[in-house]
Amino acid sequence: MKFSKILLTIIILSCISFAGHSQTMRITGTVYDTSGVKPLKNAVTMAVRIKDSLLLGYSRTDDNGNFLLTGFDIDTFTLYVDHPNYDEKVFYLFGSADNYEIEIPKIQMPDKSQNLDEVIIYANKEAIYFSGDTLIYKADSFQVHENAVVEDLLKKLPGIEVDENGAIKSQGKDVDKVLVDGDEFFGDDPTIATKNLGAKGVESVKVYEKENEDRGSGSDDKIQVLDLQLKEDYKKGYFGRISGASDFGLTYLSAGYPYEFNRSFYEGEFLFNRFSGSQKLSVFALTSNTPRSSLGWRDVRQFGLDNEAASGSRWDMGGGQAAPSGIPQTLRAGIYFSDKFGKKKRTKLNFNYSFYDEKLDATSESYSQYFLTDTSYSTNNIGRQIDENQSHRINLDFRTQLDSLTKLRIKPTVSFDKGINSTVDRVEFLSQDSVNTLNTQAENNYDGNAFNISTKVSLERKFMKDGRELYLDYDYVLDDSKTEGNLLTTSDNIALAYIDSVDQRKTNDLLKSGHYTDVEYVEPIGDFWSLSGRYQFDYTTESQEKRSYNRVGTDYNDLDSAFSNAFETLRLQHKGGVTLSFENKKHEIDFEVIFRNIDIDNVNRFTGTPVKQNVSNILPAFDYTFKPSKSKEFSFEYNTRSSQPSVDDLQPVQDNSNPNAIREGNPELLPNYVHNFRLDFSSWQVFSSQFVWTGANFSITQNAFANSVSYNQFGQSVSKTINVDGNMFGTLYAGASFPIYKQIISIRPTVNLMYNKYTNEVDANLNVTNTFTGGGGIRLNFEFDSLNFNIYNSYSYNSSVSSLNTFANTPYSNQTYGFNLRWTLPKGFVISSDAKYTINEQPGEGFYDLSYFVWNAEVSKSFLKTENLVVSIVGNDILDQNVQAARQVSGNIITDNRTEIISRYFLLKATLRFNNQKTQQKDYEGWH
Amino acid sequence: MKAGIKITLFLCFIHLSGIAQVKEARIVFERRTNLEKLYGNMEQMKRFVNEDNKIRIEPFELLYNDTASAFLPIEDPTGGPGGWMAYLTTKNKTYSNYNSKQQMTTMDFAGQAIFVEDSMVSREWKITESKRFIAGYNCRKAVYDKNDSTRIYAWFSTEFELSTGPEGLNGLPGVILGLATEDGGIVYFAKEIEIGKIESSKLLYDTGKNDVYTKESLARTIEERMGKSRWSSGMMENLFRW
Repeated sequence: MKFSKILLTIIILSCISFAGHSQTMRITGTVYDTSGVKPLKNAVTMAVRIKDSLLLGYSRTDDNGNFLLTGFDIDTFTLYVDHPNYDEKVFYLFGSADNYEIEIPKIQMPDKSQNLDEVIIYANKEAIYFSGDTLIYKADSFQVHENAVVEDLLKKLPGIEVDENGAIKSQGKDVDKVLVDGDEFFGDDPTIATKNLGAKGVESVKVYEKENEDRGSGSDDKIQVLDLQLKEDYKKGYFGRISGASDFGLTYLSAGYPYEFNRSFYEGEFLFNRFSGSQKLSVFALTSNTPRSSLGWRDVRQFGLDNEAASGSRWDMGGGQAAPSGIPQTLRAGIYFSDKFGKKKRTKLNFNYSFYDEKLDATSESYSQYFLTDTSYSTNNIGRQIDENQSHRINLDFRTQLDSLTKLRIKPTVSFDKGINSTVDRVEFLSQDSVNTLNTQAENNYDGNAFNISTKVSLERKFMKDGRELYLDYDYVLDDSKTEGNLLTTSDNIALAYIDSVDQRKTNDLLKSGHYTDVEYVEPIGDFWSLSGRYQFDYTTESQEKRSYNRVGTDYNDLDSAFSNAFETLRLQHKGGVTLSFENKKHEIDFEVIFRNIDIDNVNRFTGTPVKQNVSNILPAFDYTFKPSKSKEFSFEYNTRSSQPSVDDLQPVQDNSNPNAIREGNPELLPNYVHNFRLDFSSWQVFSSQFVWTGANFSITQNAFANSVSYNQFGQSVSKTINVDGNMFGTLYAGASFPIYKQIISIRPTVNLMYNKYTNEVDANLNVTNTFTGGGGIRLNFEFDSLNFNIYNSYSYNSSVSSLNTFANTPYSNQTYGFNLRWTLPKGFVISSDAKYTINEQPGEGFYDLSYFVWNAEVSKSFLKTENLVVSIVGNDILDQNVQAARQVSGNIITDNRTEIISRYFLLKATLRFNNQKTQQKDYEGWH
Repeated sequence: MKAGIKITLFLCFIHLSGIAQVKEARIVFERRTNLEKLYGNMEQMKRFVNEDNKIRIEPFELLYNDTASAFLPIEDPTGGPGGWMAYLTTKNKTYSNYNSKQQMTTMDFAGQAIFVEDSMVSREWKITESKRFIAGYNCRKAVYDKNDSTRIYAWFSTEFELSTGPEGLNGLPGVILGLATEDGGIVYFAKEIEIGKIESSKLLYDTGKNDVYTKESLARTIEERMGKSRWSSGMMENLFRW
């Protein structure tokens, strides 16, 4: 308080005694201008209690300059008299029981004066210097003791004072903020940084004034900042988790398990993250021979393992449960590094290397029914697949902000894959009257190597004009894969009494490269409209050479031309389009028209036959979103797209790896063209937790890719991909979520309807299959303090009608019932469990008719003060149901599959979480 | 913003000429929310809040005449920088009637309007000697200690007659032109002041067929309905922040 500015008037009235009743202060007076002649209207009088600055009351002067200030108890207070045209006047008033009515007859306001604060600058020794307006202390020039913290260092710096509470002053002015490398690394409390950081980590101390971003913490637009510049290897910490689980060889394995599976089940996991400033380093390793074969979404988030997220969606909150169909054995490990560079940390680099070694041994059985025009037949298949794959992946992601408007991103990826894959399939063919006509066996053994590079370069440029944007993208993709192996098949033709066999050595070289460029420019028109233009140019080449050699004596050197071919395809695609967009608060509309031309040059290098295609399309799109309020949204979308056939669909050579289903390519195949319509409505009321959504989707495809298949008398087939018109797909869905009983219970019903029309060709006859699927389900969630659980069911009914043969028209249904539960008990115990009962039904009896109940549970207990050690018993498929079944209907074929999966086992599991602060380390909890 | 500066300069000029009472006005506020400070202690938010988006700026307006005021978010006709981050800050509307001493707050809870009517809160303001200019007006800093851990700063100007301010805050001898939480996480500052007649129709509200809660009944309802959810604590905090 500047006493020079204040005319101190003290009206002291003797304090004698306090009366029994509290009385109310009453201050009256008249305010005049500087001359003391003219009364001032609308001056504010304000009573502020001296002991704690509390505002007791206020009033304004009337036309005659009079005021009355009352309504508060007797007290000692400051009276401010304030008027914008004058400087303020201050009085101290001491009220008492005898003197609570005070009159100040004439208050004469002083002239307005301006006081500017003077700026004092110190000059210093060499360890201290100014750089512009920044005062810099070199920390090493000031001696501190071995374990000194920053505060000890600051106390040594001339011009800086630190009081007992840790508050800092520089050159007599308060320091409002302590930054670490320009960042508020440690939040708002400056003492967290100064009392916890070691002094020897500090390179220099900078003091400067800064725009007050918040303009709330002090009363000034500028604040004084103390910025600690740390030595490189400073801000450090780590956290991680290690876990191991085993059944100690106690699981009883039935004889049905594969040969080498005479060992115990195990799971092991190690995750570690070390951070140092903006630099982060993560290491992970996971190994198991249970279905838990990938990292969970939570861990991917917490440890920044972005490229490990491929399997398991964000909804798989626990460990990623990929549930492969078979017996897996997994090893995954990798290292991730990320750092930010530059003065403002605007350049970011991410790097990772991951290694996967995965084995899978899967035994499956299937029963297929084939419906032809004149007959039907069925097959029993038993297969075994053994895969061993190794993969090395390197990803680099470089992002930088070239200036405030321009962003550049370069993202190269390299991967090497190596695999050994073998399959053995035995098939038994049965005629319509269940006579075994043919038995086949096929063995495929391949070694494969693949090398893949892809690089994305994108540049994003914004302009001073808001909404004007330019995007440049370039992608380069190179795929080089080679396989080499053997095919051995035998066909025992019972009906015709002969045995046929194939013994071939096969090589396959695929080389694919693509350059994809994309330029887009957006120009705003007024506040609501924008126009964007886009041009894409793609240049892709694919070449595939397939060679099959028949065995002659002990050597494979007889090239079999029926199964050998070299094929090249070169595609040039130009795409140009414009989009007109409108967007305001409630409506969003996009009209888009793209003109597309693809020039395709297919060459059969064995025959020299070229197939040239040139396809031009207009690809229109329309999008409309209406948001009547923030909690309701309606949208309609129409778009068109076109995809191109793969080289395998094109290459005119037979693939006899499955002698019962030989495939060949069709070089005449054209790109398809799809019209897609979508309609959506959703409404959500977060406060009352009510959600409703419904929508429909419909698509119709011209030149759709479809199978053309022809059968011999036993049911063995040769097929290729052809173009057909009129394939359709439609869905209708709706769902809701609403709470009952104080939101402890929520009910979530869903309904789905689906229609699919699929055309294929069977022995040169068109076969149209119309499939209807209808179903729904309901889920009830219960949330209590320590117990969360849900129960659910679902039902679906499927009916397929095939035009070629009505025998195929057998409807089937699927029902599921299940629950999930998590119960937190005292003393660190947690019980979690889930179960699912599946019922598959079809009329009569059939392979698909099956029901099974899979139940999993876990009991865990946490130890240590930090609860960081958790020991648990995990039970998988406790009722030993050991099956996974599915039905597939495609065209005239119905296939029912069963795959052997890992069934009952129990694991004892220990998990230790840790960090450098020795505090409780929690798993990442995402938002959902 | 240029228009704002012009108006401000003009106002400086006119109020020096002696018009020292403003009975009706429209005051445009800019709110800066530091999402890092507001949500920084939530581990899961750290991923989403970065240097580029941590400061969220939103405009509001305070309309008042001699008996009533309305504090309203200014809707961005283009929808504004949207996405789910728009839900991280509140868009409350507050209507105050100084005759009946009642306040109606309309909370926008992710699109659903919730009406809360209650009597005005009487706050204990502490007056400081600190002063600064906001939008051309000399303001004095006052402090309100809501509880042991929450402190709110307000800069008020006595040149405006009614006792009002952003978020329905009042009780100071004038209009609050600057308002901030202690850590600066949420800061309102007046940017433009238009003095002139305010239609009283603009200060009215319509609750339609919706339930009208009191603060207490809403708090109870939230606790009942959402006691278990993440949303509830944030909602209570937003409701009872000021």
